[in-house]
Amino acid sequence: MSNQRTTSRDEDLLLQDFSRNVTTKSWALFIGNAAVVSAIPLWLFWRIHQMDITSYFIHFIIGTAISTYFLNSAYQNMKFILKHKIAQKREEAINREITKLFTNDKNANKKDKDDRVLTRKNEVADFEATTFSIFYNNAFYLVCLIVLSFFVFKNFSPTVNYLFSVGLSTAIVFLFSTGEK
Amino acid sequence: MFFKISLTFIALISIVFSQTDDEESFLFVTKQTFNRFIVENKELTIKYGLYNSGPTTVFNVNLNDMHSFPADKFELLVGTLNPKWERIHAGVNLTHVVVLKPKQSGLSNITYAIVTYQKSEKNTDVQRTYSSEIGDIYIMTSREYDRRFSSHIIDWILFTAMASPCIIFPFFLWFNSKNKYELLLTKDKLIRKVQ
Repeated sequence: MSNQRTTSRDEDLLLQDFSRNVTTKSWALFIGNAAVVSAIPLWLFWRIHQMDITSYFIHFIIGTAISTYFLNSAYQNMKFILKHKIAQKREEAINREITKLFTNDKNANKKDKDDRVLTRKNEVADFEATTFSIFYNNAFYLVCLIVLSFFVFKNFSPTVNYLFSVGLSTAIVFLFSTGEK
Repeated sequence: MFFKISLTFIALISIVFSQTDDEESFLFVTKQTFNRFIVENKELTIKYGLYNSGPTTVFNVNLNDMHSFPADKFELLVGTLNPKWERIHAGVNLTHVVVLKPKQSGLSNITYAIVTYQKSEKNTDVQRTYSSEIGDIYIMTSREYDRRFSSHIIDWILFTAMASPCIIFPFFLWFNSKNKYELLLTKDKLIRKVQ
């Protein structure tokens, strides 16, 4: 019975580890970041492209909402892909870190140590994947947006410029996050 | 014989008269702008060039271009749109410059200026000539001009200040963690090698 329960707990952990779903905390972090990064370019369109906030209010709301949604998805996709790669890379180092912690503890058995390694590995991989995914997608999105808005659609009307540069850069970032292997 | 002489005489007279006609002076008037972009509430410079093409002086030259720049659309900053010159000598170039400020943006037709003059002091017949015209011009809004040509250095600095934490902060966190575990590995490997 006890063995069965452990197996089921392990399976749950494994499922959680491999699932695309993120925790509420992680989701809030992602959505907050995506909203901030989507809103920052509004400054450029307001100040440099001279788009009046009151006149383009609806465009800005729609653009920001769409880019927030897709950036959030891009963060999640990239995190999912990266997490396992990072976990494999960090395995050895975490093993050593935990082994050092357990050297003085004579009572600890191998199962406890393995559990600890697994949890720690999961934590580290989750943290690194989250931060790298946010960093990479933010940088990629902003670079795409600046290139599209100030070089490609430079001579278009501000409305077309805004909608196309936000739409396209969001689409590029989202596609790259799904296509990466 | 008499017929021949009289014919020659008539021919001579006609040549003399036709020459006097040819020797009359004409004014050529050009009108152009120095501005590459014409912008609402920014200076617009118009240059008039008058050239007396003939061998004689022209008198009472009067240029009028008030109709091209109505007061409700343009503000006159420097110069006059109705200048007068007492005379322009033969072969002389004359330049007149006016600085205006467009009050409205949009399309505007800048037509020719009208120049009146007398071919000689005694001849009171008023000659009328027209300058070249600039034609339809597009007066840009100052907002559009700023959008295309201002450097916006302060705006870019503020944008960088806002955007960089979103990139640097997550990078720093990721880099710290990566460094920590990579150092742990390399340290262990070094210790093993030493042992």
